[in-house]
Amino acid sequence: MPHPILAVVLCLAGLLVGCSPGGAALPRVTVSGSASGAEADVLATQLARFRKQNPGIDVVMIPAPETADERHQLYVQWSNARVGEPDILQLDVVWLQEFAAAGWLLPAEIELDDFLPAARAATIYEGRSYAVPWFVDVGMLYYRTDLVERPPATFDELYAQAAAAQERTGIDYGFVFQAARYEGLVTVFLEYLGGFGGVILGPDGSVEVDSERGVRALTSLYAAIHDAKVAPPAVLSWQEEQTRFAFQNGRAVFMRNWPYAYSLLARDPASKVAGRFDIAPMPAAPGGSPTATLGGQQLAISAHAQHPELARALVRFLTAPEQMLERARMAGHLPARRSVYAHPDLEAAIGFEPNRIREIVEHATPRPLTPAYTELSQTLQLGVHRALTRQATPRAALSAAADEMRRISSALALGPEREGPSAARGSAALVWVVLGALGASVAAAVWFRRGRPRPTRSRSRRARAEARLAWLLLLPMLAVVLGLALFPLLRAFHDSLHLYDLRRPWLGRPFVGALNYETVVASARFWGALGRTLGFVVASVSLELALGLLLALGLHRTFRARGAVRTLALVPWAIPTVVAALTFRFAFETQGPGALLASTLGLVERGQNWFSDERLAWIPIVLADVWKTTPFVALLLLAGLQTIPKELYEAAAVDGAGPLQRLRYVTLPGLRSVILVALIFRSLDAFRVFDLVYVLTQGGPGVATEPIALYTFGVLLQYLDFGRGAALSVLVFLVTFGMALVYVRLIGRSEVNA
Amino acid sequence: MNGRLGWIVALAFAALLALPLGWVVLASLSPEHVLFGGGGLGIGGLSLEHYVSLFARQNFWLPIRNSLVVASATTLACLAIGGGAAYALARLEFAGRGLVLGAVLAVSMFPQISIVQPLYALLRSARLIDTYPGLVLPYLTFALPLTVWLLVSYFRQLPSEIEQAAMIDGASRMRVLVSIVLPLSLPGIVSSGIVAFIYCWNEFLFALSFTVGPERQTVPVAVAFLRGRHQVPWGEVFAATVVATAPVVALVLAFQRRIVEGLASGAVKS
Repeated sequence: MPHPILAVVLCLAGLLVGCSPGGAALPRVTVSGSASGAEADVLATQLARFRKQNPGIDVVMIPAPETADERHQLYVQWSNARVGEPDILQLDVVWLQEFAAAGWLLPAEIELDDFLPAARAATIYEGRSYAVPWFVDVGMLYYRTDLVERPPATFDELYAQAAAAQERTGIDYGFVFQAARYEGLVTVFLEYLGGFGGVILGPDGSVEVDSERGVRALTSLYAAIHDAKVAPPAVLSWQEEQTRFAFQNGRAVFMRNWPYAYSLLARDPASKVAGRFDIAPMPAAPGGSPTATLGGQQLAISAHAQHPELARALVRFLTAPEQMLERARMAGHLPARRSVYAHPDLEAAIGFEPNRIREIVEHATPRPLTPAYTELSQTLQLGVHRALTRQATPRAALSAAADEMRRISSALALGPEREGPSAARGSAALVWVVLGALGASVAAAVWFRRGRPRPTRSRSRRARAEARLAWLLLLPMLAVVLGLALFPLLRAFHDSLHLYDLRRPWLGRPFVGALNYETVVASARFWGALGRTLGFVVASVSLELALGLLLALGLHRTFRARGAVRTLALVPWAIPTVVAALTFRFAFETQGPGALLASTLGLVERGQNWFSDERLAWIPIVLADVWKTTPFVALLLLAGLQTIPKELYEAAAVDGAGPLQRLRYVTLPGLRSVILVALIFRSLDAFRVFDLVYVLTQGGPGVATEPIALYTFGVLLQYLDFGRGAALSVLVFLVTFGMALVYVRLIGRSEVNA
Repeated sequence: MNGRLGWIVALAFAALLALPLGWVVLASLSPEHVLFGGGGLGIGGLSLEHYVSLFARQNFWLPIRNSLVVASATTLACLAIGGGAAYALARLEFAGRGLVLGAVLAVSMFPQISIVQPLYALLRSARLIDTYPGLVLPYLTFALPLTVWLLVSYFRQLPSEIEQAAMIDGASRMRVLVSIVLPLSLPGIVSSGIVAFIYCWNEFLFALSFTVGPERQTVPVAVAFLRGRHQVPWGEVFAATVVATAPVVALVLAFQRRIVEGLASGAVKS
């Protein structure tokens, strides 16, 4: 769709070289996969073998992020941007429905009879298979045979055995599991939930996670950390590998993990538990049954693949029995084919009797099969993590999460024909409110401009020529500003009134009135994010102004050092925010220098996990911001100080004013406009805070440090709900605009008074 | 407050600024076992292993190239488009000047997250996601107003007598602009360009939103994504941190006086 303004801008862009990958001589098939560790080794080995067997095909591996959530986000962006590569995606079992529903995958068209039924079921969307199972994962309990006589049957027994072993031997941890805020937390919770006889979604697809059984399951998980205290609070930021390291170094009695850990624990030369551990099914409570979450990965072919047939040949090769056996041997991954379980070499490959685990695999519990899974799971992660980090009781956290999950499920069912018109009618008032707010802001701007003396214009020929030249010189800049800033803003407003969900393109983009605004305004997460952002603005900007003023006054007195310090002060301003954030992240890791310093000074307990506490997690964020921007504020104020005439101070001294009075009656009034400017720039800047939080805490624990920009980013690029994201964009803009308007008025008044 | 107190403040300030930076440089040179040994970092046994692995294993040249291309292209475009505009706003008389200046200032304060959605939709329909123009165009939205703002305040500092004299001698405005103003204002243009370059080099949100993979990721995004699946390779992260920071710090040290003057005069006078 051609937009005239965009076209102008694109012409400018044409001047810049747009590089696109050139055509290669051989047909090229690209596969995305893990780039580190044993997984990367086995894939590289097998791709090399495929190349040797098929010299006519160029096979390239495109590395993907290791964490499931980041890989998911990247895949969504790839598919959504319709890039042609990679041809083959490595999908987690829980993503398939979403990707197939969005039309991002080609049907697999590969024979699946030999595959385990549960793994096969996870490839089906609306009766068709869209992927080939690659390997399967099940959650299991690892336990130390030298510390525990027999594996526990119930969770209470698990905690009692763990506590007893800790008491007896002084071992650091009783039980370690994955409780960071990510998909892994849901898999652990699902095992507890099944153990208590609960489910996430009922047979009819309704949300049942907040049932009495669900609350009991979450309470039991909470008890492991806070009541029985067998699990360290550190698990709240642990994923698989941190738990494996703890267990492998002999520091834990029990661990919940996937099968991959087995071969590492048994064979890694660094392992301190080889020969002293075993596996068992997860425990259960009375009334429930032992539950293993079904995980695993599949290979699927992108709908935008350039050579689908070649890609299919590669998928067939990678999922053949020999390859699966090799993968089991090299990476400890369980085969997805039934025939491989009968293979005599499998026991040697994985290190234990395969039938012990085949039983668990065949009865493993899948996570809900729905295209909305990612959003449902992220909501559940937040709820569970909030309870585990003591921000809410298990019951309250679970019921809030379940309400949000019900809203997501019902939005999924929303078709324009079913709800569109009535929603539009019901919310017409809100449209008018937003339009009114936009109109009011324009009127306010105009009102502010009035009352300024207009320069009298002479209409000589020379003046007209000058004006013409001025507009000519301004034209390119205006084109950019209009085309890339103002036009997009209008477009955001337009999109915010429409249903616009990139994951569900078949719904089209019907007008829905203020539905998106209603959804946003009804969401507690939005108000929380807005409040937190404003709190962050107040805290960091007032700290920066106070410290900056102090520094500027100090620097104003030291003439020789000023140049050197000024140079140094520019450095924090110039370094990338991401870098500052990483530095402070490391400083406040449990063993980091900042955390050690704070515990040495007695401010917090030793071993305090800063990033799992809803209040403490803010401290590194605010500190990083203050560190990065205070010097710059000080420089601004210093420049302002230098404009205050010395005579004023001298006159004040003659009048007998002391240092404090001079500060109060000479310095501060003289700095007034500079302080206001610094205040405006800093608070509008702090309101946009994104990079710092993205790197430091990702908004966690729960959503305790999530600012409005991060929330909006998530709605846009994780949930791909562009309509709701557009509504958020407009609201953020209006808040910023309001702040700016107030400030500009303040400055105007100060100029009049001065 | 006497002079000695001032010195104390200045020294404490310098230490607080320099400490984390020095520490990061030291950490990037410390072998893994020292980094996580629990003891302090020492200067004994420094090694370049993290840098070697950063470039050999992670191919960190790629994001550096991307950042250089995007930041330089944006800076040049800003100076080309913004130079004339800034001169018009600083020197020429025309109706609506205040409005344009206000609009430039307003756009420079835009919350960037507000235009991620529409820009993404536009770039997507133009198939510009994950391309260099797909980053340069969004970058113009913040770098261009910034450049214009800095250049306006710089042009206003230049004495206008020379220009007036030239015009009395019959030179046109355009002629004055090219052969008098341009050479005179070269220092201001350079320092504005450097500030724009630094902002582009450090930008994160747009780079994260409008690229989809390592092929076009810029340095800040690549640094943020260095985290591994289950643990953070802190040694490599610190090395990457130093590499990402070194160019901007070098620019700042080389041009600090001009940058401070430009930024401070823009703020003090506005």
